[in-house]
Amino acid sequence: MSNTLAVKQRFEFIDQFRGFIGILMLVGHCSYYFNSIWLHLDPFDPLFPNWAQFALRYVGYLCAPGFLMMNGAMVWWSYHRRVKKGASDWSTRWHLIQRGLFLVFVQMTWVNSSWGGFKVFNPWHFGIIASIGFSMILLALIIKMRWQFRLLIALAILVIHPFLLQIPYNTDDTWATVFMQTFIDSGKFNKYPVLPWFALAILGSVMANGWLQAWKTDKQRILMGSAIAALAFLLAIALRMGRGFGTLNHFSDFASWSFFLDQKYPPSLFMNLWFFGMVVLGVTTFIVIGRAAPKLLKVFSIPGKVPLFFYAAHLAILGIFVKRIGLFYREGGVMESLIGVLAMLVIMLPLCKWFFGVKRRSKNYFIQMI
Amino acid sequence: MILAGCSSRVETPVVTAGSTIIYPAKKAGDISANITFCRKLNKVDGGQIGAGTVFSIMENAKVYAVVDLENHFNLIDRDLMFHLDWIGPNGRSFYRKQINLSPGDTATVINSSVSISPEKRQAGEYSFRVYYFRELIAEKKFELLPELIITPSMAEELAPHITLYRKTSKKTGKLIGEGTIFTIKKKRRVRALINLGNRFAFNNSDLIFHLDWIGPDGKSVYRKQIGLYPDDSTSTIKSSISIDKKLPGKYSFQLFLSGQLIAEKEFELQDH
Repeated sequence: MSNTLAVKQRFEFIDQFRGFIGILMLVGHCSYYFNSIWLHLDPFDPLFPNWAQFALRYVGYLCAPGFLMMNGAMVWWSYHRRVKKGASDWSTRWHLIQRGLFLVFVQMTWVNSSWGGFKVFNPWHFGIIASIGFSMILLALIIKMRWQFRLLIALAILVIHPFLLQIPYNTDDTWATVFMQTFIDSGKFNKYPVLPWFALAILGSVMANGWLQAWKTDKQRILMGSAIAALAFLLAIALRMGRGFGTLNHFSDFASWSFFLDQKYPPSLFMNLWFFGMVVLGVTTFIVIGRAAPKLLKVFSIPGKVPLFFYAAHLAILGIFVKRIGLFYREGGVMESLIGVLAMLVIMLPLCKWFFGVKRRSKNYFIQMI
Repeated sequence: MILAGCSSRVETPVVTAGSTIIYPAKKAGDISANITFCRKLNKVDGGQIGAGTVFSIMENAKVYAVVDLENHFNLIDRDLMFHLDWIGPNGRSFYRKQINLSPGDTATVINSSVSISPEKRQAGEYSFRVYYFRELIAEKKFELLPELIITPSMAEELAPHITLYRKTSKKTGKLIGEGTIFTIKKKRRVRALINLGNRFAFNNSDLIFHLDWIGPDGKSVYRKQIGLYPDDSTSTIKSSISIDKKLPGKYSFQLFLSGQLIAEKEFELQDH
């Protein structure tokens, strides 16, 4: 394989995997809007009536780690590409910080309000997009470090986080709640505290070192990716089977539902390791499929090239039509949710293609940010 | 499909004779649960009082769900996690309780209760679900009927008739000493028998009666609550008081349904 092709392949598998994660997220959101299980499903303490509902919910668990890691990988890539092109270190970091701040702004303005179809303006809530933005800002500060140091920082955060979760705080105290739920714990204000998700973003940047630079061939990427994923799975399983440090919820047997369903908000160390492994395995699988049957993955490139637009637009459409107008809002089950996914893809894929064209041609600052 | 393999339950449920919908375990000897609803739990032995699946919304009333765990002893050496979830007619969960049994815990029954006061609940079909390690293992439905608000005309539909008497013949079962004048004597009692001419006048509603014996000073000398539930076809209610240390004078026996006086009979106690 020529070097040029290799460069192209790098971008495609990242875009495609990011697009895949985006579609999984659409699955989760369609379930949230169409599926009657959400009348009684508590995301902090989920219970499932059957495996189909469990599967529908569980596939969405890959989204946050996937986005954070892909974002970390892209921060790393963007920094090095810009610096190589001659941009100064600080201007490159500042560009990443601006993008991070923009994501926080998008969360507070568009995303929060779009869930309810813009019926209420609700800026005072943190969420996954803000968490990605915040992680991006923090990552910009350490992105120049060697991957070994970044890896150490990520692992240190992941190991320390379970201890930080034991810090007591009064949820009636607004500032204590805002601080704790911005960085450490999950609750009404924020389900995605920055600290554990920042660690996954760092791990994404570490993996980018291999995916986009150190591992020169797909074979190397596949071998190293598989080995790292396997190591992560083994570590995660060892932690879970220990039923102690790093796990938060009880489980019945190895490989039962409850085994995989440790705490998501905020994620336990087991969940972080497990889904780190899943993301690495997913990217590796996309590299394999990309070599064997590249046409199969093309559809994922479409949302994968404009992930923020895909996120913001599909949420707004669902929020307006399903929640606000009340079109089949939480009236269906698994099948209706999947039909919703298909309908939304029919709407979103052409929109994403169109927006990608707009973005490529536009020099507008905000369009570039989206 | 891979995730389906992680499920410990079969997809097709089984309905028991008690109408609990059970999702049987794939593995023999795994936990199973049977659900019973009742109105009260006996404080001494935990026995169920007023078991059924139809309840009436009522002030200060509750529905208890009692979950009998089967095969618990096969897994007594480990932590067990249960969630008991109450679902309203709108499909929303309105109360959830998590119960963790520690290794060695020999409890074979777990329970949960919810208030069915009119300010908290609406009439309709409810369900109660039992989850074991987050998987649904059993479910049972019950119905809440609207609160029974009694008016005097409605009381007539029930056609209550009070008979006061001294005792029942052990041989014939007939009432002895029927009347409204009773003589105060040692070990003597006055008994009231209430016949409900139209026991199911209010269909399946719970009928909660208060039986009040009123003394000559107008104060209650004895008060008793009796519930007649839809599963119970009894159409008579009984109550009695000892009269050996009572003062002579005019007394009355009053019958209340849901706080409304629906029947009354006066009687007199005379010295021997």
